[in-house]
Order: sequence, then C-alpha cells, then structure tokens
Amino acid sequence: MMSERDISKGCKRGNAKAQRALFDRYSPLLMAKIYRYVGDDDDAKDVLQDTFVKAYTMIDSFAWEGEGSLQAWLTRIAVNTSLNFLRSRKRLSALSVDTADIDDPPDIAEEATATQVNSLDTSTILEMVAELPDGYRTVFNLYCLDGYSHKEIAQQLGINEKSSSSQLARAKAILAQKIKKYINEHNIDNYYEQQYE
Amino acid sequence: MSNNMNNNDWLDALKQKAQDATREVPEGTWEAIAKSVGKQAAPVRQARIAPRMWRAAAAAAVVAIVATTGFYLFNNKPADSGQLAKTQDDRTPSVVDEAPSTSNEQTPAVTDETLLAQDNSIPSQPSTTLPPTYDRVPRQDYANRTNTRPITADDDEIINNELLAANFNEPIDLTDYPNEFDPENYYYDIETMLALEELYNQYDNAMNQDAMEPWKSYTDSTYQEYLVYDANARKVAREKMALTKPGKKPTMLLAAYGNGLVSTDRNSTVSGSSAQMLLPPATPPPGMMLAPAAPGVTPNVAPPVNYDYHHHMPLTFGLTFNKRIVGNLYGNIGLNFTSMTSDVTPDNGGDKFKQDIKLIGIPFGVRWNFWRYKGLSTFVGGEGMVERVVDASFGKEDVTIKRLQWSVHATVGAQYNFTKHVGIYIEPKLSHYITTMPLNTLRNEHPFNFNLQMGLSVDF
Repeated sequence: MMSERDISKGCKRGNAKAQRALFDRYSPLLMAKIYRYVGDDDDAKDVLQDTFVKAYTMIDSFAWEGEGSLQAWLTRIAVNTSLNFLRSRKRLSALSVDTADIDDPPDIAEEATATQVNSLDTSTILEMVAELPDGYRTVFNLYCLDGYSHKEIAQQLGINEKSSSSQLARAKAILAQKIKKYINEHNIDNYYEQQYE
Repeated sequence: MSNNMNNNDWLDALKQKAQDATREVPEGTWEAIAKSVGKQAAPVRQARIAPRMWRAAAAAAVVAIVATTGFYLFNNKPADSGQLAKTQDDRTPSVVDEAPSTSNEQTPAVTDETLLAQDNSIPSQPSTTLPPTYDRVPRQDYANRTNTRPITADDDEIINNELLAANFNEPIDLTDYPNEFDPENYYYDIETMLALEELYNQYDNAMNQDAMEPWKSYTDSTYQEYLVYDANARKVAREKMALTKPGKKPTMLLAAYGNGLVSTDRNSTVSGSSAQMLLPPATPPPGMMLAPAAPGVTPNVAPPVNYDYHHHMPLTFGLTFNKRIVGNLYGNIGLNFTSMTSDVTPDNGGDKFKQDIKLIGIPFGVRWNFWRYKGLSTFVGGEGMVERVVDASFGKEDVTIKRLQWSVHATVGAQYNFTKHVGIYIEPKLSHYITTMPLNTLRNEHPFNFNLQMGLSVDF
C-alpha cells in the first residue's frame, strides 16, 4: 500500500498507479463530504470528478507537509469545488433571503443530544445534512463540520458574519428537529438507552 | 450552560461522524476522471507496466512520424536538385565554349522511338530537319557588367531562358510542325524531352512556392516561338539558380543554435550560377523553338558567375510559453528572432561581400512530459514553425522576400524548473525546413538537420 507521500510524489510524476491510488484512497471520503455540500448523489459525482481532475492537474502546487496534508489539500479542493458548483447553480445567490422562508428555529431546549446522534448511522446523518436548505446546509457544513469561522464563511459566500451566525443557528435547530423526529419515528432512543442500562 | 454543553456535544458527535463518513462512489467515476486528464483508466495492477510502454511507444511514434516525413521530403527535393544541377554542370561548358553556327544547316535529331512509344504522352514521331545550333545574343550591356551580385531583372520584360539554352547543345527537334502555332503539338526527341522534363521540374521545384509559372512562350510575327520567362520569374530563377547547383550533397548536419545558444557548424561551400539576360535572335528561321543564329550576329555569351558561400552560425533568440493542455501534455507557442549571415565570394574576381538575412518566427507545437523528478522533467514533442524574413541583403542589394519559411521539428529534451513557472531547457531537435529561401542559406543547403537548442521556458 502506497503511503500518502508516495502517492503525492507519484502523482507529481504523472504516475498512473499513484493517480489511481489517490482516487481509491480518498474518493469515498470526498464523495461523502461533497454530498454533504451539494445534497444530491448525481451532483456529488460530477463535483467529485471535477475535484480529482483539479487535483491531478494542480498536483505540482501541493507541498507535502506531513501525514494528512494530502487529504487536507484534497478536502480544500473538494469544498471549494462544491461551493463553486452551488454558485454556478445559483443555489447560493438566494442565501440571504432563504431565512424568510424558514420558520423561526425551535427552542434551544429541543436540541439533540450526543447520545441521539451516536444512535444514528452515518449515512442517515449525511442525508439529514443534505436535506437542509442550500444556504443553511452550506453554513452548517463550513462552520460545524469543516471548521471555518464566521468571518471566513462570510467572505466565501459574500454575506455578512451576522447572517452566517443566524443561519447556522437555524440550521442547527432544523437538524436537531430532524434527529429527534427520526429517533421517535424509529424508536431508536429506547433501543439505544436499553443498550446502556 | 448545561444546554450549551449538550449542544456542543451533539455537534461534536455529529462532526466526528461526518468527518469519518464515506460514501459509495458511483461506477464509472474513475473512468470519467481518467478520460478528462488524458490518462488510460487502467486498473492498478496493469498500471505498473502499461504506462511506461505506452509512453515509450508514443514517444517513438512521434519521433518516427516526424523523422519519416522529414526523410521523405529530404530524399526528394534535394535529390532532384542535385541530379538536375549535374546535368546543368555537364552541359554548360560546351555551350559556353561552343562557337555558334551562323548557317541554317540542319542535322538529324537523335531519337529513341522505342522509349517514345513507351510513353503515351509523348507520341513517337519521325524527326525531320533540325537547325545545327541556336544563337543567343547577349543583352547589349551585359558583357560590360562588373557587378558581383546576381543580375537583377526588374527591367527586363522578356529574356531568353539561359538555363534552357545551357542545357541544350543540340537544337530542339520540332516535327510535324502545324500550320498554326500550337505548342501542345510539338514533339521533341527523347533526350530533349527528358532534359526538358528535368529542367521543368527544376524550375517547378524552385518556384512552386510562389505559384509562379516560369515558362512563357513568345511568338513573333513569323510564328517563331521562343521559350522565355518573364522578369519576375527570372528574378526568382536567378536567386534559385544560386541554390540548385550544389557543391555537396546535403548531409546530416550537426549544428547548434537556439535561444541564446552560441555554437558552431561546419563551413560549407555551394556554387551557384546566375541567369543571363539574352535577347531573342534578330532573324529567326521558321519552325524553330529556339532560333538558330542569325547571319552576321556574333555571339557574346558571358560565363555564368559562380558564388562560394561561407555560412556563419545562425543565431536564434526566442521565448517560449508552455501551457498545460491536459495531464502532462503541454501546448507551446513562442517568438523567435534568427539572424543568418554568409560570406559570398564571386568567382569572377569580384570583391567578397555579405549576405544577411533576419527572420521573425513563430514556433508552435505540443510537448509531452513523460518523466518528472522534482524540478527536472523530460519530454518529447513535435513542433512547427513559420518564419518571415524581415530584412535581407545580398551585398549592397536589398532583397525582398515575401515567402514564408515553414519547418517541422521533432524534439526530445529535458527541462529544469528553478521556480514553478520558469526553467531552462535543452532539446536535441530534428528539423526539416520545408520551404526554401530564394537566397542560399545553411537551411537551403541542409534542409534536414539535427541541432541542439537551449533556452528559457515559461510555463503557465
């Protein structure tokens, strides 16, 4: 199995084996991440393709800085490509007005718990995130899951920081609602609690 | 506070799950990516061997195609020129030395009916009468000319074809002469036909780049026809004749020139002869394509002037821009400036002078990087280049050259990048110059050559 460093060096030389190894190792991870952003499997496939094409053609600009740096570099490309995709579909242009179409967020007391989240399988969580409205989903992904600050989000999306913060709160509330609803419908909560009794 | 803690906990749990999440990649994704980056979508196990083989095969194919094309062109044009020039060499002295007859005595032509019969396009005809020779009356002031440069013909409207005259000791056989002049129905003896064909090919090769018809017929009031060519055609022929009489057969040349590179090539000498301006005979007899001597006219034909060329090393300065097309395939375009200087020595005792040609060229092509290690990369490529003369002089005479010079090149080279975008490269290059210059240059002499080029490369 090739190391991350060997993969990056091989890709820089245009080595087909390394290129394939890069794809095999990181495509499932990036597919999940991109799906979280674009919210659709077909679109995610297109964005994934663009991501790898960019990675192969821009590999000369990558500088290896230790284990994990290649994955981080690919992740940045995937996130930026996803945002570009959403912009190209004009899904982000209505970000600031999306808030008007959404009801006020539920009370904070109704938010989910770590136990509830852990009771769900990963694909369910991804689908819940993917179902969020485009603007909320984007801010939630950037802030909560990929560690961007509100300032960076505001710059990326062309909105102000307050708007970013506001939409994050709404996104979290909606997601908490979804989690609770899903657990109630599937009676998972009781099952999970029984496991720890 | 408790709620906030819970809030962070569920988000942390969600983040952990999301970050480690994977999702099945749809089938065909890799193939689509591989197609986009121009790679073979080979399975990993096959990738160990296949890419190297494909690269080597593709590199060999690029070189082979360009080399084959170059050899094909090389082995045709120069060979023709050499053969024709030899004919000219062999015959010229006898024409010059020969005292033209002043009588109208006619002798039988040399015919080869068997050969003629084999060629359906040349009907076999019995020869009848022939003039003993033909006369050429030089231009009035020609004998007094002392210029060392080839004769210019700007002010000559009609002149005799000196090369034709030089190639035909024997008068041309015209048989079955029609009542009305129709050059299509003239039949010549086989030797004349073969020589004529060679001669025509020579002129055709020399002038086809200008789409100029060198042959024109001039018929006087007695339906006497002379093969002539006009002033413009002659001007090109004058320049071409200095090229098509080689001293040496072109060979592979190891020259070195390039973007800022200074190096040497071997000296070479090429002899050339200039056309001479001649007037039609004053009283040509009927039935002659080239008229016999007019009674009382003394021929006064000056010998052709030969030139020895000493070519200096061509210097080329240029800049090349490379742009990645896909994967390791780059397109490149650039701008070149080339200076070619030659010392020209006429053999008639004239002073030595310089021939100077300056060209601006635009090279364009593709380059494929097949190996890379850190800043070092190796590549193969194919390139075309079109050049235009921006300034040319032959001694004191300014020469206007409008034709473009096209060339093709196959390269194998290496590049080292100092920075992401800037590097130096060295590339051995197999070059073929498709079109020739009307002035004799190293490229005319060696249209197919091997050279070495170095330069600065800007990748973007």
